[in-house]
Amino acid sequence: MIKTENLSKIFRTEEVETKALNNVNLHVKEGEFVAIMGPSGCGKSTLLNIIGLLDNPSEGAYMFNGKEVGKYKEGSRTQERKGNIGFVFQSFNLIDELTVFENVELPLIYLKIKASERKRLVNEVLERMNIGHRTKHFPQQLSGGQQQRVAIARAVVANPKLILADEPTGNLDSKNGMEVMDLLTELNRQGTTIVMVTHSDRDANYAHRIVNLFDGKIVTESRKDPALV
Amino acid sequence: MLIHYIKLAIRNFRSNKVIFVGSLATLCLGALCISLLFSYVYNELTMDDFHNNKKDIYMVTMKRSPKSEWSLPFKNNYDEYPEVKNSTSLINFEKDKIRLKYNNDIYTPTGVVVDSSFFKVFNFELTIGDKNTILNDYEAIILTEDFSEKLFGDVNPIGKEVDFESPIYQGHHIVKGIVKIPSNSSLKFDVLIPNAGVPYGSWVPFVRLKKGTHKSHFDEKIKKSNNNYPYAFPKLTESTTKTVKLKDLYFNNNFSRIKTSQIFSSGNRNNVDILIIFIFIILLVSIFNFSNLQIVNINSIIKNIVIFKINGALKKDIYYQNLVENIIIIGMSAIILTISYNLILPFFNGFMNVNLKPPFSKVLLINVSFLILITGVGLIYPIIKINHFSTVLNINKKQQLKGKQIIVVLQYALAVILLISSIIVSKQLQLMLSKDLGFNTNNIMRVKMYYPISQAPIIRIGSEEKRVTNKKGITNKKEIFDKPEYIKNQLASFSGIKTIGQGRSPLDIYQVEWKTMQETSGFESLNTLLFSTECQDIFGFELLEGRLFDNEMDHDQEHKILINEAAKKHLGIEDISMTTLENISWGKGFKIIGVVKDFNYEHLASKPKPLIIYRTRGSSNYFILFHNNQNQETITQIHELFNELNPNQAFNYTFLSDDIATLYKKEKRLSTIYMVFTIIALVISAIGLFTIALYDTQRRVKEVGVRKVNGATIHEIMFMLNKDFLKWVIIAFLIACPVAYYAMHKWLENFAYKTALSWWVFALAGVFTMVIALLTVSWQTYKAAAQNPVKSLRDE
Ligand SMILES: Nc1ncnc2c1ncn2[C@@H]1O[C@H](COP(=O)(O)OP(=O)(O)OP(=O)(O)O)[C@@H](O)[C@H]1O
Ligand SMILES: [Mg+2]
Repeated sequence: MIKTENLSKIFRTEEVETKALNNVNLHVKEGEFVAIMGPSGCGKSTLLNIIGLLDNPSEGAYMFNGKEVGKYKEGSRTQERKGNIGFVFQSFNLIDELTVFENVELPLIYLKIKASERKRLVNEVLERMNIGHRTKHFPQQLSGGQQQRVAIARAVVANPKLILADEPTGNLDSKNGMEVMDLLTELNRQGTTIVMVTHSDRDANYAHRIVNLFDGKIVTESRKDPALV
Repeated sequence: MLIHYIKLAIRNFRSNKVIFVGSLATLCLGALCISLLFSYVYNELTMDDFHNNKKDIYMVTMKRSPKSEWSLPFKNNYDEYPEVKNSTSLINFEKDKIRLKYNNDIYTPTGVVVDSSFFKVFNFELTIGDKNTILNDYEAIILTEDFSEKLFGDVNPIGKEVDFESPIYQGHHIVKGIVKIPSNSSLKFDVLIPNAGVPYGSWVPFVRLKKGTHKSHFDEKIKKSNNNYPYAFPKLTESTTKTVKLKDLYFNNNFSRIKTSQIFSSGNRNNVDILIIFIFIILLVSIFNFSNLQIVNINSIIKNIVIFKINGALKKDIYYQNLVENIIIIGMSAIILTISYNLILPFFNGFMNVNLKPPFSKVLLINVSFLILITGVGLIYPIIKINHFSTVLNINKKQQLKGKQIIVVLQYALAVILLISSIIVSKQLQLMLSKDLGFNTNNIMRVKMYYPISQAPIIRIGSEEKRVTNKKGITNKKEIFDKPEYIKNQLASFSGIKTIGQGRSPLDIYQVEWKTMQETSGFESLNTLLFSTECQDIFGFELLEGRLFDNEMDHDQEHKILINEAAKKHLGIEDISMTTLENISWGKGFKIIGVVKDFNYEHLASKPKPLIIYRTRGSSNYFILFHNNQNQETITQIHELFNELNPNQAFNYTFLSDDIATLYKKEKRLSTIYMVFTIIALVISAIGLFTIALYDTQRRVKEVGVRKVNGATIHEIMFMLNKDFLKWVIIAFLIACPVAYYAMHKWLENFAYKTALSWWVFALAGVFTMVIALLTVSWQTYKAAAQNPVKSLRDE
């Protein structure tokens, strides 16, 4: 599903040039659950953004679902992303002005799905995430764990094949963190591919495979014993 | 989708109330000023455009000498000129010369006697009556809508009978038509009387030329057409006949003679230009402010935009979102604006002394156009910028639109320019109002004691029975000379009165053609003052050489004159005893008996002009010098005397000092208008600064908290925060000063007496702007600085 070849990303600002990614070769198959780890500033989020078609690589190739998308313009990237990729972030990134229901509904609106169908899908996914009773609340009125569950609901509502999570438990206490990890694992079981950035070894243990990044390069990859999964 | 956009827009307004209200206020205030000023300016610039043949209507003029051009004072026949499609003439009356009686009420309307071809040249619409026939009906009188309402209220005016009186014509008339005068008509009158054969009067002839006729060709053709005119007095052998386009008459400062009638109004192109500049500046200030508010708005929703994009929103979705928000703002502003425009328009009309009545659809169109202009231009920069944002959420590096500072600087620079200019304008006005004019203007009452009817034939038209009317109004020799004597004796018996004079007001000057005997290049129009000997004392002229008039030494009709310094210089007179003057109508041999010191009898935009003073008696216009103040008892006595002489008539008087103030009424109004709009520009700018201060300090709350924890005092924090904002205002001020200085320097060139461009005006404008800006900003920064740091740190 995901295949990068010698992927590099260079950020240029007025004074400095940062090589955030340096010849990254990563392969993720459909149905996999991959964790990316590494020290702060090593390029994890940058890699995730490129995988998620939010950004272009500076060099190298990126095949997504068999298509070379590395040089896609923003519009085409959005089209490619729509309905295929869901995002979960450390800071939830919900829209404060929209209710829980409306936040989850967003991807469906941009997919131009009919209102009645939207309603059904959103309510269904909110039930699944166990926050069906909070649909009319605004994000500020929810706890962190609840907010992250709304964010996950939004990520999966369009039933994407790939979910990208950037430190999804980073802002949560361990109980809520575990709940979120259980949800992701459950989604993965149902067939969704997951790539997750994390600092936590415990969270990483939920994954099939751990990729270690250092200074923009993949240093080690460890595959867990499938028996443990 | 649309519902989604609208919902989001409303939610966004709610969570960014200050920006929303600020945007509305900017648009409404800005567009309201612009729309009002625009309506006025547009009206001025389209003066007389409602006439279908506006480009082909000309007033026929006469150049009696290279230095003077008048409207041709008689009617002529243009049959032999194929270029002339129609011609018409109207008789113009001087101010206060006509009266209209209805029942027992007497009115002094402005009016014209017109030829039957009047409506063939001018396109006034009749709401009642038939344009083609009404002027052939000598019984008819046509009233304007407004005047009819004044006379009859809501009652149907048609068929009402009125008596018309003027020095040359009297008649009994029946209201048969109602005419509409558009607000952009330079010709203004209350009544129209069909001309049933009045042979003379101050004619103002107009021609309507065939389409495509060139003015210069026609002028050349008619050049000598009036030289042999049999009724012309004096003979016009040296004059040439010309034309002036109706459209050019309004802004033309010549032809002051026809303009004393109040029928022909005149405009000041200079003032219109200044208002146009005002419109532009307010437009720019509004655009800048709107743009700034949008930048703040986008900065505050930037995170949302990125989240939308991550969830599948395309660029166009973001644009539509923005578009929907702005359409809602425009729509709301359009409603508020149109309502407030209609509420304010009557006051604005009254204030500017115009009668603008734009139709509702036009008001809406103007308002919406300006709203779209302001928002459209204001959005260009933010929209282009929004394009360059990356979709990547980068919480460490907040993406922010820049450029607010520059916009604030520009906006404030413009506002400060307006402020300095407005202060200078009112300072100049003050100078003119308080300037010593060089003659006495205090305690002088000006009053018309009776309305003389000339001895000339009076034509009475009407149905048979009505031809015979009372003889009350008819004047004879006895009345002309006895009445003044009686009035004088009566007035002299009132204890409050010091001196009584008769004559024309120096403010209502009369132009007559003069030349010195030696002069070969012909006559020229010179200001001429006609009054009785006593007026010299009343006005307190200062004699420089020769002598003043003296009732013992000088007699009626003698060819003796006084001149002022300017006239002596202008006419190149070395020794007054060696020169006599010639008047084009009154003959030769006018001896100069003395020279008086120049005094400012005209608007102070110009230095005193050459002036000839001729002694006459018998004017019905009196100057009454009161002993010490304008005491009410004496006014009542004069009023009673007036009533005795003119039963049932309105007693109208003015004091000369008020007449002088009236000279500056237009300036005063404009100066107030400038001030009001300047303040609005400052308010708009303050809205922007306030909003920026609000959002910028909010972003720095954490920094403030850290500094406070580390020992910074509220004062230090406020100084730190305010400094950043006030820096912009100071830069704006530094930019504004030289620009305003240059602009005002240019403007003052219009005046003979100039106020100084004092440093304190600039300082005042600077301090005023700074104080307002400081208050605006401190409102926010104090809140931030005073906050408990523990709270702000925990919040983050
Ligand atoms: N938009 C940008 N402009 C310039 N430099 C950037 C930008 N985004 C990231 N970087 C730089 O690229 C490098 C990698 O950043 P990235 O955010 O991918 O790190 P990370 O591994 O996610 O770190 P963390 O664990 O702290 O989230 C860093 O040095 C960062 O400063
Ligand atoms: Mg990161």
